[in-house]
Amino acid sequence: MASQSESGAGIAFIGVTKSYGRRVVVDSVSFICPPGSITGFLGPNGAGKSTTLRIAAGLSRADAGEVLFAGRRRRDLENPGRCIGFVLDPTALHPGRSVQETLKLNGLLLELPDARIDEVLVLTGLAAVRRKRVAALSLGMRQRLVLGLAILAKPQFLVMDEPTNGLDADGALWVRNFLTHFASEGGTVLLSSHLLRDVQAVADHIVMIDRGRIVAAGGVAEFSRGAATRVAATEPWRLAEVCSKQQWPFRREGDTFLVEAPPEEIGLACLEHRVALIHLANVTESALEEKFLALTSGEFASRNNSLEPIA
Amino acid sequence: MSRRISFALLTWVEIRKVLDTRSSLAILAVLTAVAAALVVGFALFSQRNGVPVTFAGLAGSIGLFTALAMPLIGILGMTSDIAHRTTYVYYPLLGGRSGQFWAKVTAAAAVALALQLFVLLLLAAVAWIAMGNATAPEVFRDAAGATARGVVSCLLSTMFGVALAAAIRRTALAIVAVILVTLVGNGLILTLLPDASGYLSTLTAGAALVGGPEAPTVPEVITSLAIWYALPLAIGWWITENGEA
Repeated sequence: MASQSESGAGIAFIGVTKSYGRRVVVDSVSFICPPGSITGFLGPNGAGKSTTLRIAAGLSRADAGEVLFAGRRRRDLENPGRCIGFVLDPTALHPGRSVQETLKLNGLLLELPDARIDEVLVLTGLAAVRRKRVAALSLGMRQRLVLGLAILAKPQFLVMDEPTNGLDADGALWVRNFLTHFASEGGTVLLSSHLLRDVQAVADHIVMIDRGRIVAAGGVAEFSRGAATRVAATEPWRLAEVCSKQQWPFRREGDTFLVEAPPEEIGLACLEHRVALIHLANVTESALEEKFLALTSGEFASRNNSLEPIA
Repeated sequence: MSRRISFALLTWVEIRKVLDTRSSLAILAVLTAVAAALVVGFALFSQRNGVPVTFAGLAGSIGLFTALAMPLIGILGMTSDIAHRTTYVYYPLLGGRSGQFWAKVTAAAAVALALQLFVLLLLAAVAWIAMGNATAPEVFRDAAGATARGVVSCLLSTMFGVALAAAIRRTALAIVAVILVTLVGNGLILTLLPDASGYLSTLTAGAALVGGPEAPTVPEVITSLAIWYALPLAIGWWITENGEA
């Protein structure tokens, strides 16, 4: 269990529990989001991700446990909005208010200069639609606006629920780049999603939740351990020789090989042995997906897995 | 840099939120136009019938307008964030919810008061124009008292809407409740429970402002205020503080 002293400058969820009637939707959830990193919060729909985040944002009260930001409860912070940015629901905006006015209201509450609102409008690509009413915006544009509200005060923490939902490819890439840069500057990010690709692309740590309980947690590398690379060569028998020589477990699937080794090492070994490759692709994502499905299916499919379940 | 958000700032933001959309401005414009039409219409009607047009008389003519229009401002101010789920945006910014709740109450009162003062200025102008052969002291007799009554009844009406909206938390339901209670409920209470109507009517506090031999007693005023103002406001505050956003 995470303790206050362990949480340091990051975000700590300590025994957070929430029930609606007799249904326990979040059950003793404990984990830490270390500062200067991105923690991916993964789980299927209805796993308890959004409720956990709502508790962090102060929209729901936990029955037990608490969420600490740099060791302090959100409501104990002098001005929570200046420290924590939340991306929760792009549809929870006043449809009759303009984009600029929506940002301006938060700017007033957080006592920010108008210049910062202009900056965020440019940063989020909303400058051209600043006078448009929210009702006229697409879901992607609303998502950008919610992101703009979250980063308005240059917070130390970002808590995001499906931030790339509705964004086009450019927008999603921008979010990923922004989060990576934000974490590299020392910020703490909790990124909730049911989309593995979103999380895997940027997360340093992964926490998996299912039926309100944490089922696994660890670094992305731990989750990717055992991942394979799909390889195809002009001379497949020579590729098999290289794999055998390197003692890499492999198996043939049609015209390709599935090799349990990183693509860089395979590429270098093949170059060394003058084996011409025509395909080299990481299949880590599918490995993570397999783990995700196994861990969240109710039964732990891989008891021998190095990744120990927490709950 | 990172100090608590002051109540004054919260209130200012809430006032801005009442006025910053086209629909809210349209509602205020319609209310102002209705008030102006009522005042001018009453002045013309009085002149045609040879009744002297006085400031106090005109102020009395907009009583029903105040009773129905001002609660609307209170309702819109209290339920806007709930209706559009913008609590998702504002609650995470705040340490607690009580400050914003009372800021909404204050903001609704401030906006309603501004509208009422505008209407009173309009009354003064119309009374001045329609003065005819009467002298200023005649036209503006008891102007201070009428103004005070207008301001207090405006605040009472606004707070009635604020309190019901705080407890009901749905814009349309709160509007229906205000209209039904004001126009139907009070009549039913008077018909079915004539002896207790002073305690149960929403109009008791307003009647106390008028005074006279029929004026309600202090216990009646306190009971009415408790039932229609303090209790729903307390329920609304409790839900705001403890409920799910």
